[in-house]
Amino acid sequence: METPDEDLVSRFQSGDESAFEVMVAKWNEPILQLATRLTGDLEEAKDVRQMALIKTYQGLGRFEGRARFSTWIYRVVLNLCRDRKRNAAVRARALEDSVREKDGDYVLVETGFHVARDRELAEIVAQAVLALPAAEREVVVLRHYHELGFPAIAEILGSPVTTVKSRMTRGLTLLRTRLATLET
Amino acid sequence: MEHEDLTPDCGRMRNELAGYLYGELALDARTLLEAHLEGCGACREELSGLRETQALLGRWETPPANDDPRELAAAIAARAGQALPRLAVQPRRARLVRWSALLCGAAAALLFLLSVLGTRVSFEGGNLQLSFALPGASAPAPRDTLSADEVQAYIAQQVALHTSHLEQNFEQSQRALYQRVAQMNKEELLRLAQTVDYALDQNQEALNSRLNNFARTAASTDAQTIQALNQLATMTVSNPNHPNR
Repeated sequence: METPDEDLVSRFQSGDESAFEVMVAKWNEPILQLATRLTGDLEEAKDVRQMALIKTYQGLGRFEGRARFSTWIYRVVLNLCRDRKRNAAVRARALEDSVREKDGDYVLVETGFHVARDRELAEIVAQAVLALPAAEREVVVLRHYHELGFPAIAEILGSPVTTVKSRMTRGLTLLRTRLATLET
Repeated sequence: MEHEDLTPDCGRMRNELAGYLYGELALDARTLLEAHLEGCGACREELSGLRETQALLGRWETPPANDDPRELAAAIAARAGQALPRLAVQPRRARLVRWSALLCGAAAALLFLLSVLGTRVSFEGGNLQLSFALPGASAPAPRDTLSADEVQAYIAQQVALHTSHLEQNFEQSQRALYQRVAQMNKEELLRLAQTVDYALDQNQEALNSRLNNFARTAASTDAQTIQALNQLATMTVSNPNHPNR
């Protein structure tokens, strides 16, 4: 059974440095995924992950548990991503890297056309999400890709649940318009 | 895409569609929405479109992290530690540096003595052997020997390596200690201060004891070495083949 974050925080605060390793193992992937989908740049996402983990390491000692650890770490990543100034060139370069290549087995059973279309489709979806206004993009990414409930997202953003729901609906509606040609 | 016959409820109901799609509506809200959907083609169409959009979102996959968490954690800890302010007072580090300097000085003095004596070091039959080329001596150098310069360089390298390890370990311990101290409240800090005082006293006693032992052993070893050197010198000078004789 997975150790709760709060237990890991307590262990770290008691001087058990190995607890940080467990936290990294648990949060490395979600942080990178979130940062990739918010910045659209894999390299920039790795920078955000490094800074988020450094902030975690330095801040764990003062973590008082007023909010859940997951809320705290998501806030850190969101704030780091918001601080990033990106230009169009960076976004275009990164988008290609942020779309995962299908693994070898998939390529074997699919025709080249299908593989190419799949990648193209993934890029179109990624561009549509990245083109959303920041407020809607954050909610869509947290809800859809990180499977966080509206109350949890509201806590992370410091906004009412009703606002989060409205942003999600608006985000999906905007995406529907942009992806309309792909819907069959 | 947009249906024409929207009812006054449609705006409010559509705000619930995202919650409905992601299974986040409470039972009463879901019942109300489903009742509305039954009679509203426009909202059913909207829901259908959003559901397709929801499915499309799943097509964007991102690369897995593929990092070793242990290595990543170590790198982060090291990086985070660098950003920490150094302690203003570092008495243990100062002592460590003083002792390292003392040991290096002693090693250098010993090496100088060996160098003056023209000492050669060799390993023969698994045993370390020293030979001395006193002034005027012309004994051929044995095979597989190291010159005093080479030994000096090797020992200096090992002393530097050892000192570097000591300093690294000390840096790591210092960072870990700093992290822990930063988390402590006033009571804990007071307890820590008392513990540190006690530990320092204990360490000082233990250190004094070990130093006394070391000094006794060193004096004894020195006496034996001087005696052996004298014997060797006597044997060399009394050698009938010695050119100075």
